[in-house]
Amino acid sequence: MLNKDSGNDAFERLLTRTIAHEISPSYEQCSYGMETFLLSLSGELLQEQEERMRAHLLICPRCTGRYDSLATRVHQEEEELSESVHDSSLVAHLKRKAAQPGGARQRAFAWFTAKPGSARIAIGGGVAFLLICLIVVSSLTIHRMPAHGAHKSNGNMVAKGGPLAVANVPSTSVLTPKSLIEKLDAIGGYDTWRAAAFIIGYLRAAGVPLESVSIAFEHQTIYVTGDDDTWETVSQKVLGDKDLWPIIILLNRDRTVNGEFPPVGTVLRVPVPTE
Amino acid sequence: MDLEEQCRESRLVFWERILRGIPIDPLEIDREILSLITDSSPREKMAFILLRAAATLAGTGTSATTRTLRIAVVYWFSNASPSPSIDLDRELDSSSLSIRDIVGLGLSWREAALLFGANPRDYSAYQRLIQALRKECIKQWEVIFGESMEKLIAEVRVE
Repeated sequence: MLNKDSGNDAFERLLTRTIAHEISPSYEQCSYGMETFLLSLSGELLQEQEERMRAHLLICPRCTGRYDSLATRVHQEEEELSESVHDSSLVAHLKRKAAQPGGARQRAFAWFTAKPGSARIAIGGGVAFLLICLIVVSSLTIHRMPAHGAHKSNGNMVAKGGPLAVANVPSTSVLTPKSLIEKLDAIGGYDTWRAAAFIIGYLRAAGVPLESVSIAFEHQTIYVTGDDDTWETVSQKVLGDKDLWPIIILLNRDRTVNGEFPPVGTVLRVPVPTE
Repeated sequence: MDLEEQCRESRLVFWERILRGIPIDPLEIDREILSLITDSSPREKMAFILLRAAATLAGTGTSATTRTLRIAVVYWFSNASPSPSIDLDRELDSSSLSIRDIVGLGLSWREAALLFGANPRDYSAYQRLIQALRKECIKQWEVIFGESMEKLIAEVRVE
């Protein structure tokens, strides 16, 4: 204590005791979830909510632990993401090539998007087919994962190459070459992640294990899994289309075992759609 | 979450603002907390009055008083609780300080003063602040709760 006056000294003791009580740990039930923490970490919480949450962290050891651990993971993810911009995967490579001023692909893309819908279906299909041929050839040379028993039998998913190696993932009727081309045309764009949807569809149709495919996007962000999330809901929230869930799996292969959806609070990598 | 915890969180939000030098209208504190603590323990009442008195001093005092108060908030909170996971090598910046950054650091008055570019040897500033805060607390306790706070201080003096 700095103060020697007895009255002030007693008051100061009362004061320091009061301050200590203000930040003593509380073990009450609280309602803060990972979503709030993630919003805070991304600077998206309203100031009032942010202040309240910060105050709560001062007294709730449980939330402090969860928040700090999430902050560490998010930080690590961000570092990894900044490194993955220089990824050498095919999709990233094509994207970079397309972005080169005056490049052949940029001109081809401009030409492509100027075409009417029906022509784009045909052209898109052709381009995608070439891309897929490239990837299928390279992928087939990579180690092929054994198939797992939990795979759902579905006419569209069990293709010529045999059953897929990804188990326990949602079935969908969209992931066929034809329907993907239609979807691409309906979306009306040809950017990286939509191209990836193409590629994935072809790979699945050909029975190539998704585990053998490498994929990265130039613009990625993170998503923390919530209580009711599935691959499809994450795809819907992030890409606006539940049927593009294989992209989410591909980006998070190290976070899933046999295609199982990871536990609540897992930080997933997700692409940022470019419109 | 029970009422006391809720009030505690609200008070910490206000303390955080005082630490950052953001002006607070004591009536805002009343609106958020007063009705919840009228039947509470003396400890809760003291926490409320202390915050209210600090907000009053910050609002009515000179810029030097406000700065001394901010230094004092750093000093109090940094010594209020030990923290097992503090990073002692972390650099502190008075413009972006938060209570969470300082809890457990155990700063001396000198160190806290240096953070704000104040004279680290001027301990009298702290003594004057304690005196002013005590006066303000006693005054506000009487106005708000209609009784004397001296009894509470006397109990502490006896211990």
